[in-house]
Amino acid sequence: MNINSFIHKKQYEKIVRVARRHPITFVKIIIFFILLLAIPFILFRLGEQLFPNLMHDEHLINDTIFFILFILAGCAYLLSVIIFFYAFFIDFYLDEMIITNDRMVDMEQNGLLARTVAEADLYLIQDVTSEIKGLFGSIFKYGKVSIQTAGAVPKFVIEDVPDPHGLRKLLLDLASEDKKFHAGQK
Amino acid sequence: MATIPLYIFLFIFFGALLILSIFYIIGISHLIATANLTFASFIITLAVSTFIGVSLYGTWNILRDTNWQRPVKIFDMAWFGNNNQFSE
Repeated sequence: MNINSFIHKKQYEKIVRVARRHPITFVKIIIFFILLLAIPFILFRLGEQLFPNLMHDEHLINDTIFFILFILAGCAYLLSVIIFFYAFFIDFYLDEMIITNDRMVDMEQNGLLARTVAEADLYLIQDVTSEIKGLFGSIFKYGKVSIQTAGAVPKFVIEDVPDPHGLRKLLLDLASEDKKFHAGQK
Repeated sequence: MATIPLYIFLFIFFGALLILSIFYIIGISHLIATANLTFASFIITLAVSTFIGVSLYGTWNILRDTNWQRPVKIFDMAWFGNNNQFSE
């Protein structure tokens, strides 16, 4: 499936921008999961330091059930961590807003098993607010954009989006164009 | 004394693998269903798949000579009985 069929793009519609979270906001998740992945190796090194005789006992390493279970549990732990990392990535990556010259489609992934998709015509936009907060937000220029509409979904919010002020301006320009188009149709 | 064969733990491991693989497939299906097959998602999926492959290969490599039929003692009354080594 491509993005055009996902949003059921109309013939006259053109995708202007796909806004996602800034990649830098995913770095803290990567660091957290690297630490989680390192735990079994840190414990093994710690065990070597604290119990050198136990950890280098050939009989214990090669022949005991304890060792076999440790390897199975260690593998299950590492796979669980990497799969949860993937789930976090899906949650991060599928929070997006597709902006066309006619409407905006806001998709929000909540965990791995819940997703909300909302859309509103651009001419229904009443107010757009952009906000950059915090040290990293100021350095990497990402922040929040809140869109107030007169539609069924009154407020759209996209967090950690790069260049929020530029996105606000883009949305207001497109909304203005769309309002002119709809006024001309009446 | 109660014992179970070692392969019971292997089956538990396979059960955990099955659950994790369901999560993995759900993740990939979300990427496909929402038209998010981009270079970034490809790189992350490739990295995750490689990590899974290396972990499973490493585990198989370490445990390939294991005799899975051997019994594992899970309960023994002697564990709660008198233990002379501490009284000496």
